Amino acid sequence: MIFKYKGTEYRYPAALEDITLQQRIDFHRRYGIPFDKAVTEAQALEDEAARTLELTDLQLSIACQAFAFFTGIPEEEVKENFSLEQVMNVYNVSLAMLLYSEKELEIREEFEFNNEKWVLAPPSLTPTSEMTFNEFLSGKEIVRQLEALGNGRFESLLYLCCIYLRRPDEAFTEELVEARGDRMELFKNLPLDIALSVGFFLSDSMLTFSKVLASSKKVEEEKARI
Amino acid sequence: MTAHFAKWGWVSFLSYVAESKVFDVAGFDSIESAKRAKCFNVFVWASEKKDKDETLAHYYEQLNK
Repeated sequence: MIFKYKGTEYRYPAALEDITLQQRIDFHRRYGIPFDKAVTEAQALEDEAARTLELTDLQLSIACQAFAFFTGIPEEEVKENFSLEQVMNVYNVSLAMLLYSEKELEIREEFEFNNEKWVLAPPSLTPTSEMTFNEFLSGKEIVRQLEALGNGRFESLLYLCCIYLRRPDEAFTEELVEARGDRMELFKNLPLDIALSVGFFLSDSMLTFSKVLASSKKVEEEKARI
Repeated sequence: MTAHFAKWGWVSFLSYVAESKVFDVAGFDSIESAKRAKCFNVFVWASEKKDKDETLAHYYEQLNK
């Protein structure tokens, strides 16, 4: 969506494909993490009036921050020169939906990005699967460490895209997940709809085998019978 | 095994697999060999090894009764 402000055209995203994965990561780091923490603290307030006021204030702040972040207009300028109604309209109609709603995404295995075809190399465990132990281990370990650091799922998503979203017939190598490597830098510009599709697809696939080995499952069944 | 992974993580499982030397690849050390093995093969081996260990433990338990 495009609008004019002080004679210059500005835009804000109206669809997931208008936001890059890196933008989502940056927004989450800069505003999302403090916002989630502040909301948790506000919800713990015993006084209902104080709680409502605090949550409303936080909602207005995040709306302003999202507007500033995605348009590029400094936050202070947004607060001075845009009405609350304008900011909240943009936030409620577009930004909140893109940032926080669980959207029904089409689960795909092939994508077009950067004028190239990309395919998902799903972590399916079958006798014919060519996935190496290193590929599986890298995914698990990276996600585990990022979660431990509290960096959130969007940063994990960048690494998982680097591991599992590849050119057709491309094998996994550790270079794919090098910080500041070519693949990582390229995928920072991945549109969010593709990144989230990869995430949804992987969560479906990985649940079937990533948590439990066949033998462990037998032990659990034995315990349940006893 | 699930409890082991929860506590120590998958990296220690890599060490466990590497120490067994089941997946030796010429020209690579144990860790690199294990990393290059097909994931399916590693999990089948681990699953079968655990079954074997449990069966042996049960057998010895019966002998001592």
